[in-house]
Amino acid sequence: MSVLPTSAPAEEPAHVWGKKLEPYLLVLPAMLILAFFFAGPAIYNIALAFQELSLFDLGREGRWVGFDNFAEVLTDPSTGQSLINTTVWLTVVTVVLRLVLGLGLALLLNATVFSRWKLGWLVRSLILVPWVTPPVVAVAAWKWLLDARYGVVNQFLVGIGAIEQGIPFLARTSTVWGAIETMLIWRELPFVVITILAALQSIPSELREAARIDGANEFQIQTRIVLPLLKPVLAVITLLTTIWTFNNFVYVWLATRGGPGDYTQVLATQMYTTSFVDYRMGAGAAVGVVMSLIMFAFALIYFFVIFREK
Amino acid sequence: MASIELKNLRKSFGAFDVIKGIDLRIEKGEFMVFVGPSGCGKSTLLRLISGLEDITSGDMIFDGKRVNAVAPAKRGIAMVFQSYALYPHMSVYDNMAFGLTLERGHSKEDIRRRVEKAADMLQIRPYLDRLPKQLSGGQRQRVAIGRAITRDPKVFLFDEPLSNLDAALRVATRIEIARLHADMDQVTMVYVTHDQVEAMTLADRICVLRDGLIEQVGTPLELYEHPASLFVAGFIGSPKMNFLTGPKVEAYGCATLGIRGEHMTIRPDGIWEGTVIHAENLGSDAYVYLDMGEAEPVVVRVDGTATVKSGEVLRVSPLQERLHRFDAAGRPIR
Repeated sequence: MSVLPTSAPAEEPAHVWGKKLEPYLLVLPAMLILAFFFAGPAIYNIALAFQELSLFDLGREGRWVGFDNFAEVLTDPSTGQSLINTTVWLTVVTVVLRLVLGLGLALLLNATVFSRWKLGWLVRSLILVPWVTPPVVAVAAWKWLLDARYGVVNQFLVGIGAIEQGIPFLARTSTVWGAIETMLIWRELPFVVITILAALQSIPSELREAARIDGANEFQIQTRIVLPLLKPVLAVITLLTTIWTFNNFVYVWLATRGGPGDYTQVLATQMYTTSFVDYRMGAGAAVGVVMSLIMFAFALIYFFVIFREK
Repeated sequence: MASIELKNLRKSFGAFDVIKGIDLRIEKGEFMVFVGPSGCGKSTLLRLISGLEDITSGDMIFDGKRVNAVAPAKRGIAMVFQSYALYPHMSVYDNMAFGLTLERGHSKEDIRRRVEKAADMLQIRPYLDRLPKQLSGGQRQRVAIGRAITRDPKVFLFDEPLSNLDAALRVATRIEIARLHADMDQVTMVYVTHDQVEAMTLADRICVLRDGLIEQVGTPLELYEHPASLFVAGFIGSPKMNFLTGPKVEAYGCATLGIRGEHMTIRPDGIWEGTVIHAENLGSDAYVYLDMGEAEPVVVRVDGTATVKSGEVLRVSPLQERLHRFDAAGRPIR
């Protein structure tokens, strides 16, 4: 015997639909802004990457060339060099140094001795100064500091007898990456310090006390209690700083414009020169797409590795 | 097992004196409870015993040896914190084994045996592989106690260990701690609480603190029956002792007369009269709050079956032998 419904299900009243729609309506403004300022340009950039189009023809449709732009970009030896520069010299070196220095400084600022010191708040505030300096101003100031003839750094080194004449730090292949990395780390380090410091301060003091009673010395407390508890925040900092730095254009462009020669060319500056110096919008867009895909793959692998345990 | 002796112990934070000179001896295997209102210095005193705070002046002596400068881990103590203080990234097993892994001379097998023994005592063996966040509040507190047991301490310190638990769990864990003390009668236990019921039910002796000084030390019954001050009389016992002043007490030759709710009876020929403000029926007993013209209502304990209405005028009489007389300085007149 089958059981049949005796009546059709009642229609849901309007206020139930209103309730269901409410969350979508609440996220709509943010979604519209994202679509307009992010998704739109991103999709346009992807479309451009499959066209041959001069900067002067922008606004008109270019010639569709399939994967030609990608083939050209990926087989160009200078792209390989830019990728190595971007990955190793710009990103890995500065992210690792920022994490090590940031962790060290945060631990120092969080130390009991330091927090009892009356001027502790002043030092914590001063740490933020580079972070509030616009990158353009920071690079300009550093270029002056590193100037071969008038720069304070060279004057100091000559003064103490370390060198006989000023070194053009940004024009020599042996020093240029070190100089760019110094500028970047100086400007971006406070973010790492402050974020780790906030995480450190959220670790309850009872955990350190329990560890002291358990017999842990200061080094064991840091390595076996504090560091494992910082792991989530260190993971997020690593992810964010890697993506921000890999895509960064400002430091290299303002400091050297990719020079001397192409020595410090990174993917972001290559994308810019291809698009706005060589006027080849399609090829430039293809560099941008390649960069996005690399970072997307990095983020996926990173999340897989970091959150595998959970 | 260790005896603890505090000699003229003082602790200041900057210009602020928290512990103002304390002399106390805690015997081997004794369960001593520090009790007092917020800010009286009881937790600071426990932290001084643990070594987590430095002593400003005076002596801390364990088994006849001065330990003022001895690190917490070297004092042979274990501590249970109010917030449990379990390491969130370690499993229950690793939390309990952590202290032993830091000490030299323990094989993995020895550590496992000791952790499992403590886990069995507290019935937490099924949770050894879990993380603290996967446990309930009561289970976490048992793990914290288990971590302390694993270290086989001479002195067990408890800092308000039941404060974060709900009422039912508090009673259950209190019983568990009392049982633990019975099982580990060689271990000296020092317990801090602001809850005088915990103090009364757990302690061999209670130390009542007030403003960084000891107000009275004694067994729970001594404190209940012979309070050394108005403060102790008001702090120990629930509901607290009633205090009468003014013309009613002139005949007794004192400034304040203390009488507990359970030591008064409602009777038609009672010597004092009061109007019922409110009555709380707890089933077995009921507490009747009377307005007798004092600063605070006078509480009388009656049988749970008694029916009392608000606004009713009642007469009460105290048990004469249970009256406590205090002078103007709050000291008892014996």
